[in-house]
Amino acid sequence: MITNTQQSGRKWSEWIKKLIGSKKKVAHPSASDLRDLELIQDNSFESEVKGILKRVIDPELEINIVDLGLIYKVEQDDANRIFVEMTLSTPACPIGDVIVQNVIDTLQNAFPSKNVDVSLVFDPPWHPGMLSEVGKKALQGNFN
Amino acid sequence: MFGLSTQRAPSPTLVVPYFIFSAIAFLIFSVLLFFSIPELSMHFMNPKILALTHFAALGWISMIIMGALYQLVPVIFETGLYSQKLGKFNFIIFGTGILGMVWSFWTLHFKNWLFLFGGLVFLAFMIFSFNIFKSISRSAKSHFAGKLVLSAIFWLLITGLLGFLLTLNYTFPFLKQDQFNLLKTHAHFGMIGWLLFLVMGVSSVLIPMFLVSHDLKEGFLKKALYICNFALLLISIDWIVFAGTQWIPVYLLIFFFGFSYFLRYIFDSYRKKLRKLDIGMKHSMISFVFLLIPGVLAVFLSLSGWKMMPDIHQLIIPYGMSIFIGFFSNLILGQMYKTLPFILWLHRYKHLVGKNEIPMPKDLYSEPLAQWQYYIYLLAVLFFALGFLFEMAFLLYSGAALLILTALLFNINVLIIVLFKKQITSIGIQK
Repeated sequence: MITNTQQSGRKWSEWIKKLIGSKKKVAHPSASDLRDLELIQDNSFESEVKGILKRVIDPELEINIVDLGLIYKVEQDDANRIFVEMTLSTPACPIGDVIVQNVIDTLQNAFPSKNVDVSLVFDPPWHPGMLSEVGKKALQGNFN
Repeated sequence: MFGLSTQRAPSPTLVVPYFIFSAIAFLIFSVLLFFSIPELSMHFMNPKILALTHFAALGWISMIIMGALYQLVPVIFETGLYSQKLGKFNFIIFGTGILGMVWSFWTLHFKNWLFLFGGLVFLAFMIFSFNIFKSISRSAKSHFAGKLVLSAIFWLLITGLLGFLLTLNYTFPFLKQDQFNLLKTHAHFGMIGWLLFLVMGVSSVLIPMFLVSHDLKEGFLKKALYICNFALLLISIDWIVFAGTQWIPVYLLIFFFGFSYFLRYIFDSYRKKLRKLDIGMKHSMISFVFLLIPGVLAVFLSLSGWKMMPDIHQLIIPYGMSIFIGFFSNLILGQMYKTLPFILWLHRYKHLVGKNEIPMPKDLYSEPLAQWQYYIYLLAVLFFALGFLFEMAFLLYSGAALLILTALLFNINVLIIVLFKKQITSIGIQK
């Protein structure tokens, strides 16, 4: 049996939770969600790698680096080497090395038999025109 | 190599104490302000107003800015901090100096204690400036924001020196100039030279970064830096050497002209933004709009040297409050949400990025509480403005009560961020 005191106690705790906004979401969901939506539907190796790299999220913007337009080039050679050329949205990015390491780890996990080589370039510098449509919507908070 | 941005970041044990001290100081300041409402209608040279001004300028605003700068210098200038130990030592010196100084003002210990604590604050300024200067001078990267930061540090030292001389003068009178003019100069060295120029330097990097805006004109910043510094120099020479002439409004006009370039830079960044404003940026962007209030009041006050103008000394306290509460507090209340969560997120989750499901920096604080804080703060400013306009103590008390509530919500969120812990689950990346 629930007493009035218990009920009002529960109401208060629910009210406080609502006020503070308890967060059930631990990770940003867009990484895997976006992957299937925006991926170019071809079977090229570049598309496959870019699809995998959509798991790498910029923690400040909360958008994956592919939709941000940070990946310039993806190539593989005969020596089992994956080469990625990428940039950052600003050279002053405070977590540039974390993002690059995340790219290496993600690709190394996805392709354990290959060597991953990432090159960070700022020429051409990143500009908003490099954002994908999904990226633009996500920045404006319109992505559902 | 990919740059060592996160390896260069200082330890949170250096930065976080500055943020916590500052948040608590803001709460105490709000409470003290509530109990000092009768003093707001008196002359600004009364002990409680001096105590409150220094608590806001040093304990709340400068403290958090120093902490943030320890974090930002390595980011902006791509160099490690010269000495983290010196930064920690500085926190103790600065904190002790501030508390002692505010106590000395509040309890009228001008003669025997003030210069001692004033000396500690000045020492803290010197240590801080040395640490930042040595860090920046090691940087191979030339960033224009650096010039604004260096000019802010120059003015910080001048502010500290003049302030220390003023405290020394209470014990061993030696200054021949009019105290009122020296105090005005000291206040403007601090508010404009140190705090405003630093805000200009740091926000010229951070605001475009947070709003994701590109193609901004650095030339605007250059003009703002040179013209504003020139105007501040003219004003201070006029006050110190000529005890305030009728040329002050002209110097003010020059300052406004220079500052308008900085505002154009910020407006340009806002106009070209690709990102919706989050709560932190809403707070920060509206603070630039609120600058209109001290701007208008400064025009009236600058004309007070003209003979035909009536005595408008009662505008000095609203002018100071519009700068400290309307602008700097507003900006900091927002920027805390952009910096502290990120600093702690980096420390706790950097090694888990890509390996586990981890929270994002935004998840470290309560967004609804931040929203409440924003609207309650706006109400507080409105009540203060109406209170001064209609000279009604009730409205001023309401404004102060709302400011206490703002500070409480801010402190709760700082606590939530500092204590944030989440269970991390492995996601196991598969092809």
